Amino acid sequence: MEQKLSQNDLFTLIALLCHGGYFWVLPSFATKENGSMGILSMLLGAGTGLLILILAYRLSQKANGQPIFQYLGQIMPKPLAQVTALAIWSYLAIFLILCLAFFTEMMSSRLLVDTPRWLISGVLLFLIGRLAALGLVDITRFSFFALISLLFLMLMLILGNLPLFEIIQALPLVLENGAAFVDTWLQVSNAYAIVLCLLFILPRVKQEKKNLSWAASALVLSAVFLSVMTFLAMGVFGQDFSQTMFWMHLEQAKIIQLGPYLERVEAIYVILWMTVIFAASSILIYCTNHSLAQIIQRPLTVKMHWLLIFFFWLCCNYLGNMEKIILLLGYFNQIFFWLMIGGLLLAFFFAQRDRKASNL
Amino acid sequence: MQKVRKADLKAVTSSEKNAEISGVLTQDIAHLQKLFERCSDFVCREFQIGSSKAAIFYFDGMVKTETVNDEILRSLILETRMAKSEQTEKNRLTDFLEQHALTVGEIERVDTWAEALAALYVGDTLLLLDGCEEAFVLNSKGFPQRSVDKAGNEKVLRGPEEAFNETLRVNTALIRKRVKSYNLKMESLTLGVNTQTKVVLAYLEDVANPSIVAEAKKRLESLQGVKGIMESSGIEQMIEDNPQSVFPQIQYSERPDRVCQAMTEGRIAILVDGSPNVLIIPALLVQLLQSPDDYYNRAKAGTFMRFIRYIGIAVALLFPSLYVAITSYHPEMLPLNLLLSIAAAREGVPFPAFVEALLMALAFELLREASLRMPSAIGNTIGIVGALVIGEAAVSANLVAPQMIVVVSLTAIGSFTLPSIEASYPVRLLRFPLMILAAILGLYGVMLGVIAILIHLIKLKSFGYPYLAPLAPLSVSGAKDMFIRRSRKDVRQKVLFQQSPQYSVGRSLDGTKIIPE
Amino acid sequence: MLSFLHKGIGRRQIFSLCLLSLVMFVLTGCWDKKEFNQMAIVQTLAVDKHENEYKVTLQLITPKAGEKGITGEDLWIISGQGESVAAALDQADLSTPRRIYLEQMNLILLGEGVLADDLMGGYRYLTRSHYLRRSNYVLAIKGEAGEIIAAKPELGKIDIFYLTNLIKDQERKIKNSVTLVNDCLLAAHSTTGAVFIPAVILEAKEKLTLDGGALVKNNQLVDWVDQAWTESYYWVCGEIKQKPLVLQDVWKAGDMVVLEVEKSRCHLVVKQQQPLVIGLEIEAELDMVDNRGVHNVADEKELEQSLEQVRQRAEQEIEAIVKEGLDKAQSLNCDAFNLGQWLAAFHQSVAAQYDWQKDFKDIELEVEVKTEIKSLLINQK
Repeated sequence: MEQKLSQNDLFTLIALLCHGGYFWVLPSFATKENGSMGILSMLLGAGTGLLILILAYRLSQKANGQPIFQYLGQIMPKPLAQVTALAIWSYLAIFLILCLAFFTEMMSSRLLVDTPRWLISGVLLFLIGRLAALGLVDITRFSFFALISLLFLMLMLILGNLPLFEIIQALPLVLENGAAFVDTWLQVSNAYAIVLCLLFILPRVKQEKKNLSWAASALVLSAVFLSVMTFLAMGVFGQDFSQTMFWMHLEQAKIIQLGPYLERVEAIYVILWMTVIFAASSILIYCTNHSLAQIIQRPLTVKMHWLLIFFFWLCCNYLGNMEKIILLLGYFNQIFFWLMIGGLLLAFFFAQRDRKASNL
Repeated sequence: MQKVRKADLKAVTSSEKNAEISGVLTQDIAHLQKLFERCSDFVCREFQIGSSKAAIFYFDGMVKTETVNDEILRSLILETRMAKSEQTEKNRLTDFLEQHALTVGEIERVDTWAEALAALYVGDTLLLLDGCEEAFVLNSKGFPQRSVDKAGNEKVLRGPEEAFNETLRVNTALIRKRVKSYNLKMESLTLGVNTQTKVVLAYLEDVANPSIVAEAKKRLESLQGVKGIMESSGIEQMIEDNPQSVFPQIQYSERPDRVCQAMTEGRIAILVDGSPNVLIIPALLVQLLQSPDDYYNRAKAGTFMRFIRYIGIAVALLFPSLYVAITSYHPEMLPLNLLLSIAAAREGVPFPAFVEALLMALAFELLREASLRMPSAIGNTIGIVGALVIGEAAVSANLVAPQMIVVVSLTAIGSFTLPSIEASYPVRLLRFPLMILAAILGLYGVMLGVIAILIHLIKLKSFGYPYLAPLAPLSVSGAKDMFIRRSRKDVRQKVLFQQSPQYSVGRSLDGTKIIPE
Repeated sequence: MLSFLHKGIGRRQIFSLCLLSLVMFVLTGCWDKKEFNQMAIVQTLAVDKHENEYKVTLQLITPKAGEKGITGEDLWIISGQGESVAAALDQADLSTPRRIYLEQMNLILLGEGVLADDLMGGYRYLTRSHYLRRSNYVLAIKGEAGEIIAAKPELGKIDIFYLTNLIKDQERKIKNSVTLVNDCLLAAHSTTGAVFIPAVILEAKEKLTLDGGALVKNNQLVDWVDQAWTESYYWVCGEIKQKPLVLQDVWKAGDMVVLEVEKSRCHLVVKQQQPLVIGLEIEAELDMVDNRGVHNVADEKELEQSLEQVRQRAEQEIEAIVKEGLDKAQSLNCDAFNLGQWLAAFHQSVAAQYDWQKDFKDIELEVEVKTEIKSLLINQK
């Protein structure tokens, strides 16, 4: 009998997705031209993410356990369904590549400066591939440990930064650049839109009333934590200087001092954070690979799985520096996000139409 | 009356299986003597009962001589003299012997050679009568055995000290005297073509999951063709879910109290004749890390000991690799005083920290292995002297830093906190790959190693049950119990493994491996 | 041969062999590995500037230092010069066969030349490098910072952590009394642009003392201040946990009362918006620890009066200290107390009306002190 995930598992998966590699650089983007006001744009972006979560949830419910792309093929004209599916798949794939690229870049520039990037990303992807190959149930089991790491990280960051926090540095909250605010809001929305992985996760979850609440609460908690973290960074480093930092949380980790003996714990911080990246990337790979299998209407074989992993590894290595990563991020925000949103809305529209037709 | 079970016969060669006893004594004697030619311990004693000829057969050393002499021979030779002649006529002789002459506790009649030989092998005496196509199997077991001794490998501070020995019946008796219930079932099988080793599957019918019992039986029966089984470890490695894994998926114990406790939780015990180690299935990782001491002592003491044990395991697994990673890749994490102390100590050392750690860990493993093989009288002394001398000499020769000796010693002490030896092997083995990863990639490498181990554990199953339960999948009460031992008053006896096990790991379609959903 | 391999060894084993070979290959790399015997551990860094050239002086700890406690004799001083701090460090590196290891450094001394010219230039490179910390302490040195470091070996058996412990001890007694690199960075981008950096002086080549400090505004030294000024700074910006307050002639001439400050806090309020008046409300908990001179009281009423007198004197004393410090800061137009930043954070509309860096000297500041004395050393007849 196929094992179904519980609400706790759903919460864990969504919480980890919302803390994947890309999310840890969001505060830098959010505060770049907005200062402390960037926190508001992050919360608004999370709100948009919440709407996308609800959309994905409703769509998945209408699919009633069917693979989502199969359902889309039934309710939409086939070419349109294919385009929608590809738009969603490409969003997932690029999000995954960005997560891995950001993490590799951070490791390469901060911790393991001379170690080849291909080795850092290679071993990580190999293990991620191994975990993703076990299926969603085992990914969820691993995610439990990652969630504990995440809670520990949160505590470490908050308690470690409080001694140096000065509220006068974080205030005032002033909206200086409206266009930058909107741009940031869209960027954050794009990041939180990853919750559309719910389309692939929900068929494996036990059908219960509060599933949506649990998923939504995971997203909200993530948004709250990131906002708190950003506010703390503002208070410690000042609004102006924070805008020049890319790896804001890493700088925050550097100043943590555990008693008079343990300092410079950013290495511990990074490796704990790695478990979160690991879990989030496994979920992403699971969703990406299974969605591609649905598109080409073939079962996902082991060979295909590892070929895709290899492809992602190549893409990650191609993004060999921050410039290329930011360029891809730009395209991701400007093109792929809107394609995905368009596809999602279109799918929802057809699903609604299909429901009305079946009611009649 | 203990019957020679049909299951026992399966191990006998096919040619003997169905061959019947002829009833002609001379032929039968010749048959047996041919079978057991060049067996100096095979004894054949011919004698007369009334007008009939008879013979007994047994293996010297396997039988109780007093039983053979007093209960069997004396009864047959002397007592039958008193009998009336009509009682000892051929057609009534067997009944007479069984009802009036033989004073042995267990008697069985067999008519095939397979049954007869099976009885000889276990130390019974075979009685053949001329003109009778049935043979008597007389219980005279008296093979040498160790007495019930203390548990050597599973020491506890408080609790019973009896341990299993090599005799199956003694072991089943040790269980039976603790679990006084008709629900205690003991199903027997014979495995090993040449060794015909008796194996007993013991479980409590009212708590054990029938599907686990069925699966265990199925796996054991699949071993029918194996040539020989000498110890429970042979069976263990052949029936576990993933024999390639370093983690044991079957527990073993030499303590009857532990086995009985496991059975009351719904687990199944496999007793093997000739082995003092009883297998317990299924075995989850958490069960390998728990000791009976936790329950024999007070709740808070038990909890404290558990925490110490978990710290010990973490130290044993991770300390050397963390030392290598931090000193080689992240020395900024060390307080300055400690860093200077380590730096000063390492000044003259020619090797990098990884090589030091590897050398000392290997030296320690060599010492450990050597001390196992040495006679106990000098083993302990050599072990201690060896450790001291090697450690001291290595430091004086500037081969290793003194801190490394501390690291390796703490690692060794940590590994000794594990209550079961089988649980310490994975820790000892995995330490080395973690050190290699630490040497290549620092803390990142250590974390990758830990993640790889975690993935393996998540994938692992013991008779269909997730190995990491109750952590993954999470069961809050179970996970709490892992760390905090509640008082006996608060804990109702838990029955585990009631959910259906899952044996299939992946699906395949037309022979192609598919990633599960 | 390959078919033999396939027969004799399975595919899995071949894969494992290949993986093992790869692992062996990368094992020889260990690219980011650091060996202790390849590191020159820096304890303190001093940065000086003459004309356009930076000079860095590094205090290295000798390798054998960890064996039996670490003293001043275990230090080795090297220096380097260059057009930037990075270039100077590079030149210093030529004097040592080991890689200069700055990750354990926790103190930076900035000489007068750096303070006068470009404060940030003294540490900007260090903060950009990923291996350094913003929580490093910063001290100002009147004159050559390198001399402080160079003098230490002559101090014989002094612990090499002397300076760091001096600062940490000060921090233990008065919270926020030390300046970190992060504080200097914050100041550079703040409304006030000003920061106070404590100073250390070397007396007779034997004694290192914390004495006063430097007021820096917009990356340039404004003036040196004495220890009296730093006391006013501690009352406003710090939280005093242990400090004596000496009151002379409390009840009559010759009386001296010593009060220990156990807790202090300063709250800022806007008393008036137009014109702007900022109130500094200082609250302190004091404990009488010494009382020279005989002062006896007859009854409870007299006791209360005596106590009130002590309290009023204490408040007056504290007010005088703080006002002196504020006056000096205003005369230099250097808001090292960060009042402007507070105003911008909590009263943005008011702050927007001022160019704080120009107008600070004209802002009215009112000091109000409230004390509470916990115990007395007065005899009651």
